[in-house]
Amino acid sequence: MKSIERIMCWEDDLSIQIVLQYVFEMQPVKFLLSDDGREAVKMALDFQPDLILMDVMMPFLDGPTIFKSLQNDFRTSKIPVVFMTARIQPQELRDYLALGVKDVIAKPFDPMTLFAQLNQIYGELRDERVMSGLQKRSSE
Amino acid sequence: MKINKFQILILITGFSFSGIVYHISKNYVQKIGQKQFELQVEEIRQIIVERLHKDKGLIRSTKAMFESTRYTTKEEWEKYVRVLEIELHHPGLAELGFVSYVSGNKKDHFVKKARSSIEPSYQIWPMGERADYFPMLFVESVTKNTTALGFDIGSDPVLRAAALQAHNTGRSAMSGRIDYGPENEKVPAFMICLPVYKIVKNHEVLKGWVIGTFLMEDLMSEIKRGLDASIDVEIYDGTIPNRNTMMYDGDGLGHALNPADHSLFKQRIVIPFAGHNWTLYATTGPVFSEITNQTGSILILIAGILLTVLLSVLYHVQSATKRRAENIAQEMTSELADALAINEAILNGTNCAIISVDFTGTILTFNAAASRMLGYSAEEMLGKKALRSIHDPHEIEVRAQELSKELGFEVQPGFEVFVAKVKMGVAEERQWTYVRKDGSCFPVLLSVTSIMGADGEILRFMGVASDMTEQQKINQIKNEFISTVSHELRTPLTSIKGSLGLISGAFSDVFPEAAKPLLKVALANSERLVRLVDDILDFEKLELGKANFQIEPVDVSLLIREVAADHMTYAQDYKVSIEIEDLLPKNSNKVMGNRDRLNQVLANLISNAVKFSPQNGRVLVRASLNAQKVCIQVIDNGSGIPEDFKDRVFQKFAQAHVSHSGKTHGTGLGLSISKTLVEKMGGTIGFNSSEHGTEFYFNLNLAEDLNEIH
Repeated sequence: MKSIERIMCWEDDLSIQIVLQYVFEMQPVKFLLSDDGREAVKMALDFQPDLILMDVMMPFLDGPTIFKSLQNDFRTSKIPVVFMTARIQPQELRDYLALGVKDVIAKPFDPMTLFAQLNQIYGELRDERVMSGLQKRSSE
Repeated sequence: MKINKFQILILITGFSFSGIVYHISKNYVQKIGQKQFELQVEEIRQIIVERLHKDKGLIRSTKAMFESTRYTTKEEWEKYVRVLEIELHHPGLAELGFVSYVSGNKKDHFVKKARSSIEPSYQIWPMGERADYFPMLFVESVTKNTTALGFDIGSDPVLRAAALQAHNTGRSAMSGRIDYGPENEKVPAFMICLPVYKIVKNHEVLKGWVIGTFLMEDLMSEIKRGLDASIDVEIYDGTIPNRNTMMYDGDGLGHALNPADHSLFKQRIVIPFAGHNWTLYATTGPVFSEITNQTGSILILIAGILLTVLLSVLYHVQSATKRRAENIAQEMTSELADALAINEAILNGTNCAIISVDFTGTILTFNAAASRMLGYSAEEMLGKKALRSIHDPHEIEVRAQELSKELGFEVQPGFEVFVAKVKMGVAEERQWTYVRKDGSCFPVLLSVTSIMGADGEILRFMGVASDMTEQQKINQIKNEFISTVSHELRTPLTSIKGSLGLISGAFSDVFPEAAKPLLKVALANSERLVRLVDDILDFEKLELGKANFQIEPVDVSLLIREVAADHMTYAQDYKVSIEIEDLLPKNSNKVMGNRDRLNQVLANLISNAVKFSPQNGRVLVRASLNAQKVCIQVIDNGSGIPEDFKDRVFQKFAQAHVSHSGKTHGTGLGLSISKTLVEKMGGTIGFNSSEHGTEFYFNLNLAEDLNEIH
């Protein structure tokens, strides 16, 4: 199972940014942390992440808005996005998933397992894509 | 007793009617009595006259006997009277005899002849010289009184008058009253005389008289025999009743002589006979009065009076009863009016829409709040089947499908969706969307119940709807607040827990050993804080009824193993072992519940049990089947729940004083949440505790059909 090599993260809380920095620094992964989603598409195009981890509530643009802007550009629409939020009431979770995000990680997260968790999601997504590609080819 | 006008009217009318009936009855009885009396008196008169005629016949026969012979001998006379059998056939006749007419100058010749042919001692008496003599020549006395022989009846003015009258008229004549019998024993009597003639030289010459002397007492006794004894008869000689003329007095009271006589009826009849008059004076005696008395009339009067009084009393009682009934009815009417007024006030004062319908869905009640909420007036809705027009049609469709699935029969998307469960005896409360007259919608919480009649049959259905718009806004604000608070709490917690996690995990090597316990405390408490936030949110959702979850069959044996495994590390930290005792049959190990929520309950109970077990203690998780219920017990051998805390175990934020245990604090919401969850899954939860340990248990239904519980 291929693991994440490049990860991009939007989080406005500096303390959590620091924790995330520690988490990703411990892993063999290139990462980019940001608290401003206004240049999200450009940043994503520049950084080319395997997966984007995104807080929901942020001061400039919130997670769903950033997500939509990424979705609206074909160059970034295929990048899997995982929300990371403290607002995890069932309806809220349903709403996030309905947007098209791949998963939601609840705050507070366990820093020691966070990356593994993300890798798990990423791996499952890749498997799905591979399976889907195989099915397409066989049908052709 | 208070008497009213109508009662007085009843009394007056009743008494008057009774009096009139009494009077008519009395008069009628009196007239009948009078008539009866007159008939009887006439009968008496006829009998007397017949009897006198009969006696006159005897005298006439005797006259014939004397006129047929020139000289009648003593033997012939005796033979004649023997044949007559006077005593038998002529009762009352005291004497039958023949009186000769003797002129004064022939007295001696007559006496001489009589002495030779009749009686040697014969003589005319009373003695004395008179112009003529009417001496008794033959006499047959019933009393065998021979002293009458020779008696000159001409010496007695009364008898002489009768004799002369007979002679003058040539017909029988009746004397006035005479006193007959020995001195001191004289009784009233009368005599009938019939002249006897002989032919001398072709001339009728007076020979004498045949006489009959009759005793009134005997005569009347004979006459009265067989007559009604209820009538008293008095007979007076002549037409003027007095003591001297009294010949017969039946009861000896002399009614005719008593001006103050009170006999009921009285009648005076003059009986002319043989040139003489008798006065018959008849009165009714006590027996007749009894026969014709007014008892019947008086009884009618008394009955009438009693009936009137009874009627009056009945009327009074009836009136009193009616008054009481009216008073009670008035009180009840007043109470009913009060109750109706209160009901009306409640009905129209409440902010809840109250709509009642009959079995067909026709609206019977539509209160003021319903009008305010929906924009329809009561007049527009009453009597109409208009429930659909105030509901969201889509909701009705969806609910009909749900109910059809749940109840196992088809529920039509209409009125039935509101009452299907109520008809089964289940009061239903759920959220609906109401549609106003202008088309706008708003949420309501609608409770539908049935109104039963005295016979237990459903009379109508009543829906009480409260507008949930404000409530929903409040809930939304509350949710947003909770969500925000949660976010605001979780955000710093994320960095704290994350940092502590990294230190104790990735950087524990570089962390001073002496500070590690403090790091552990910080990490544990950050985790506790996270749990607290989670529990508060969870509890709020349960409280708001927003924790909807799917009820489905859950393999409880598997679940227990999983939750126990999850807690093994935790238990090891407390040096406590977890054991499982699964007594469920293989085909009966599924309960109706929600897997995640059951996990939550079981985890809460197990973690509590571990936390409160002594070191090297044992937590036993047992699953067993009991009457179609699966019972799950979590048993520890801790020191038990303090007595004063037992009644607060399931209260929110309730925690026993745990200083003695030194265990980590919980949130105080775990058991409260567990209880709510178990009950939402249709189960029950409880506990038993002693100083040797505590047992928490919950029962759930064996797996059946799928259901969604809200």
